[in-house]
Amino acid sequence: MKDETFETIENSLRNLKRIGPSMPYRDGLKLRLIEELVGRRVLPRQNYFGWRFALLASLVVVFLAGGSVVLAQNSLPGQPLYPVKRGVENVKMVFVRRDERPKVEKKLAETRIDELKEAAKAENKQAATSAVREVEESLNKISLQVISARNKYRSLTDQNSDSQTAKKILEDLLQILVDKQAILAEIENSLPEPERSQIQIVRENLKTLQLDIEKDLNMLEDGSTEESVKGTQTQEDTQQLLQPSLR
Amino acid sequence: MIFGGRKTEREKIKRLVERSQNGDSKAFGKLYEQFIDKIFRFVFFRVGRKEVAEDLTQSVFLKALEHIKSFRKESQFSSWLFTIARNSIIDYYRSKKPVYSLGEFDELVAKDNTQDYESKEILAETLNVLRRLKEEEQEVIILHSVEEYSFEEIARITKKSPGALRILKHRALKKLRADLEK
Repeated sequence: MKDETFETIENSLRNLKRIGPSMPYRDGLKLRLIEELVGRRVLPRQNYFGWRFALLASLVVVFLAGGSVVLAQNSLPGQPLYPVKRGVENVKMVFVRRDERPKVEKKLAETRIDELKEAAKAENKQAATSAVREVEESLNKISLQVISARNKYRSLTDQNSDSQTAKKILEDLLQILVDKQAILAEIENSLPEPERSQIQIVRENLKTLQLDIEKDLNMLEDGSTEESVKGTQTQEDTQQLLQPSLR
Repeated sequence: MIFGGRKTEREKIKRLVERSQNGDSKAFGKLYEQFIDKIFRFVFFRVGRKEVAEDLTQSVFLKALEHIKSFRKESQFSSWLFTIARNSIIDYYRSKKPVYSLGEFDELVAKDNTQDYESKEILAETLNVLRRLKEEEQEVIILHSVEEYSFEEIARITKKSPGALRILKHRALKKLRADLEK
């Protein structure tokens, strides 16, 4: 027979599940782990057969959809024709050269933010919810670009190789991060909750990346070339910069 | 039904682990989402300080990321991850003592914004009673009563037999009851 007092205690204990880490901490640590993964150049194994099949299927869908494609261009996330719009983008992306992809991803992130703006303006709650997710996803791609560019820049400076091109890429990305934060801050107040808070977290993450880049670029200007120290400092700096969002 | 659900969940995690071992960052991200709360709680309930719990949780996931390729597929990922967390706590414990204060919960109880001070106080009281238990008793209570892992799963983490864990938990519950009745 079960002891009733034990049941009551067990219920109180289950309540402890309500305790958890803060969202900025969760997101910050996730970002740090992605950074680690990219830093180690661990890349996903490609499934070429699946990729080709998906491409063929997407092409068939695009051709079959015909007129829907044109109509879909003005659709917003969560609307019936929106998957067609994204499908077309995905197919186009397949034909984009690898070195051109960052530019296209930047353009797509702008499109996603425009969609969020539209959804907020139209006070379309459902579209806004989906649009926030789309914005997060598109900015994650930019974040990965930043992480990858930082790693490249660090490795070039560590080897005392020419890092001017890498520096220029970082500076461009820095500008993108600053611009995106400003645009998101403008839209933020017109959004309902919880979308507003989600966008705030996205902005905080972009800010963290911005500070990371600024730190990297200042390090070079300071003339610090002691390689072993530099490597350790960068890791610790990333840690420290994530900390404010954890408090 | 519950067992079916657990099995499907285990299969899902197994696939995510396989993909992570092949370097799929999205899959590792999903594993992270699946376990971050559980690991954080497990660590926090044992060490008692938010900052320390955050640092240790971070190191648990970084170690997991570093060694994911050497993870044996026949083991369970959750047991493996909790073992890493457990070892990190043991290392920490060698030099420190846990301290709880209600102030910590003002920041920590972030999952439900509607919680008032009173319910936070109840949570704090439950935790204060929990921390008076022996380390091994705390462990079984956190993993079985809070995180709802089976005794068999906890046995893999703690290297104790399921029978011994059942007795340990019963003893811990009796202590908790006596403490709460005071």
